[in-house]
Amino acid sequence: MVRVKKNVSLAAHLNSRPLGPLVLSVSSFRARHFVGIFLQTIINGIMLGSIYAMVALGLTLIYGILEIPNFAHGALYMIGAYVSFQVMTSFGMPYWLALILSAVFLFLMGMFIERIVYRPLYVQPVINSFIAAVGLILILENGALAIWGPAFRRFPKASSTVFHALGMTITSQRIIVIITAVLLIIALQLFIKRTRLGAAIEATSQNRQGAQLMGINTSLVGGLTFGLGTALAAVAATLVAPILLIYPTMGGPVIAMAFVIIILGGMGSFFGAVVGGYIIGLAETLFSSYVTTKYIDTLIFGILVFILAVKPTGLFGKGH
Amino acid sequence: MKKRNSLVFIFVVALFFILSGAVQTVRSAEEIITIGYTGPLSGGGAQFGQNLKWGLELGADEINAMGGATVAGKKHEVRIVSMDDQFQTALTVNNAKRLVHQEGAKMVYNPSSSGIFGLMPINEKENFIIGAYTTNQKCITAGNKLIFRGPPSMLVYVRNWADLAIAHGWKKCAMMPDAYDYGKLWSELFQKYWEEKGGTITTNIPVDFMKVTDFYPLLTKALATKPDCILIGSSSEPDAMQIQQSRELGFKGGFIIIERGKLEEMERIVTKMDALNGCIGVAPFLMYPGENVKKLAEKFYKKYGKDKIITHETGIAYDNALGYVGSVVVAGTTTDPQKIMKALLSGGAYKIPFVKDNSPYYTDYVYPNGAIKGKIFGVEVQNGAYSKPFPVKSPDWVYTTPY
Repeated sequence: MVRVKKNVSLAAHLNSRPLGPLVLSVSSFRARHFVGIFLQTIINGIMLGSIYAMVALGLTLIYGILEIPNFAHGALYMIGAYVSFQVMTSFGMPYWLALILSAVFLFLMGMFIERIVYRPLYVQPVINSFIAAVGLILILENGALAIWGPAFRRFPKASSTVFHALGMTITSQRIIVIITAVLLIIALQLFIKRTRLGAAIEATSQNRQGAQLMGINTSLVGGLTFGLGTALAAVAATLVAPILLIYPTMGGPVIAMAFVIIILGGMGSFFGAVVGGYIIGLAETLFSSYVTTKYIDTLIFGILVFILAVKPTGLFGKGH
Repeated sequence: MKKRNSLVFIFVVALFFILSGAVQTVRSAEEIITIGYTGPLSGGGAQFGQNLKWGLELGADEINAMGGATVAGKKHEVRIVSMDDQFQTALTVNNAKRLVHQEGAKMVYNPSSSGIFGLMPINEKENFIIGAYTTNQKCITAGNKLIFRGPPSMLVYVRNWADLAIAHGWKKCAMMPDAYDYGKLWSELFQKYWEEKGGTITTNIPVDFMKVTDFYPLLTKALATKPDCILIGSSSEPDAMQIQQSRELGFKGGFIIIERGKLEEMERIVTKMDALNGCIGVAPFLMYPGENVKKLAEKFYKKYGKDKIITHETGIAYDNALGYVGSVVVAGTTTDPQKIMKALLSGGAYKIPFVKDNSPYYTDYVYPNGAIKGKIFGVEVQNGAYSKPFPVKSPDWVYTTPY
C-alpha cells in the first residue's frame, strides 16, 4: 500500500518513466477521482464478498450434512461476534486471541446444537428441522438481547489506521478481512481435499449411507462439520465486527444474503459458495455506488432468478 | 418413551403459556390506573422502545412512591403494562386491543407513526386514548378526538437545525435519512425548507440501518457530491459509525442529526469527541435546565444502573405519564377517556403538584388538537465539546397547521 501524501512526488516520479506523461494526464483530478471511487467500490465489494463467502461456506458445509439449510446460522454468527466482544471487554484479550476463542467456542456450540437439536430430527420430516431452527433463533436472539441489551455496540479497540492511495481510503481492518478470508478459504479447501477427515466430510455430505458403509462414523463427522461451519461464521462475524456495529439481530441480513448465495452457487457446493459470495458482494457495492441504494434486494434476487433460470441447480450445483 | 416425550412436550408448552402471561391472574379492576405501552422491545428499535418504557415506568414509580394518585377521593396505583411489537403495525393493533380489553388500559402509548395510524381508526370506537410518541403532524390534525402527542412537531426540528446550518454558511447538503417512512417524511420537509432558504440538496441516499452491512459505499457516494453538511437519520449508534467513517474518508463538514440519533448515545461510539465536530442535534437530556431534570436523572440511575444513558425520549415519556395521570386526577374518573382528554387539553394536569414538581420540561400547555407544546433545546458540537444548549423556536402554527 502506497501512502501518498502529496501529488508532487508521484508526478515527479511518473514523469521520468516511459508513458509517464500519459499516465499523468489520465491522472487529472477528475479521472483520478473517478478511478479512486471505482477502486474504493471494488475493494469494498471484495471485503463484503469475503464476509459473505465465509458465512455462505459455513452454511453450505452444514447443508451438505444436514440437508436443510441451517436457518439459525445467522444467529450463531451474531453470537460469535458477541463472544469476541465479551472476551475483549471483560478480559482485555487481544483481537486475534478473541477471534480464535470465539471460533473454538462456536465450534463446540455448533457440535452441541447438532447433537441436541438436529440429530434427533434427521428421521423426521424436514419441516421439523425448520421449526427447530426458528426456535433456536428465538432463543439466541432474545438471549443476546437479555444479556447485552438492545443498543448497538461498538467493537473495542477498533482499528484506526487509515491508508489513502490512488484516491481510495482503506482501513487496515478491511485489508485484514480480505486477507484472512482468502487464507481461510484456501486452508479449508486444502483440508477437505488433502486430509482424511476432509475426505470423510465430503463423503458424508455426498452420500451419508454410502459413507457409513465405508466405515465412516457419520455421526461424528456430522457433528464436526456443523462445528466447523459454525466456527467459520464466528470468524466472519469477528472480522467484520470492528467495521460495523454488533446487535442482537445482526445475523438477519447476512443470513438472508447467505441463502441467496448458496442457492445461486449451488447448494452444497464449496466453490459455489465462495464465488457466489464475491459476486453478490461486488454486485451490492457496485449497485449502491453507481445506481441507487434503494433496490439492493431487488437486484440480488433478480440476479438469483436470472441465474436459476439459466441453470436451475445454481452455478456449480450438483442437482440434489 | 413416547408417553414420556408427550408429557414433557405438554409441560413445556404449558410453561411457555404461563410464562408468556396468557394465563392471567385475576386483578381487581379498581384503584388501579393502567397505562398500556406497545413498542419495539426487540429488533432494531429496541433501545428506543426501551428508553420510552423506562420513562413511563419512572412516571409510575414517582406517583406510587407518594402512595398513588387520588382520583375521586380514592388512592390509585399506577401500573404500566408493556408489550413488544417490533415496530410492526399489525402487532401494535393487536397489543393495543389486549391492553385495553384484558388489562383495562385507557391510554395506549406508542412510538411508531405507522403504529399510531394503525390505532387511529379504532381508538375512538374502542374508547381509549392514544399517547403518540411521534413528531408526525398528521396524527393530530386528522380530527381524532382521543389522541395526544408528546414530542414537538417535526417542523420544529427541521427548521431550527436548518436555520443553524445556514447561519454557518453551509449551502450544499447531502441527505442520508433512514430508509423508512419517518426518514422519508423528515427529509422531504427538510429539502423543501432548505431549498426555500437558498440551499441545494446534492443527493438523497436513504440508509436502511437495520440491513446495511457497510457504510463505506453509501458514504463514498455522498461525499462525491462535495457537500458542506450531511443530514443523517439512523439510530444513534449507526449514526455515530457513519460520522466516524466519513471522517476516515476525509469529510470535514457538519452533520444535521434527525432526532432519532441522540448525541449522548453517539458519544460512546466515536473514537474521539472531535469526530462529532459540526454536529447539530437535540441537546443531551442532562444538559436541559432545571432541577427536575437532575431529580429524574438520579432516579433513573438508581433504578436502571449508572451505565445506562438517560435521553430526552425517557424524559418525554416520563412527562407524558405524569401528565396523563394528572389528567385522570383532574377529570375525577379512570374509566371515561373523553373526560380525561378534556382535562388534558385544559392543561390542568400540569398545575397539580406531583406533575409540576417533576415535569422535566416544565410543560404547561396542550394545544386543542392534543399536541403538547415542546420545550426542546438544541446543541452543537465544536472543538470536541458541546456548545451551550439553545432553546429552539417553536411557533404555534407549527403545532396547529396540517402538513
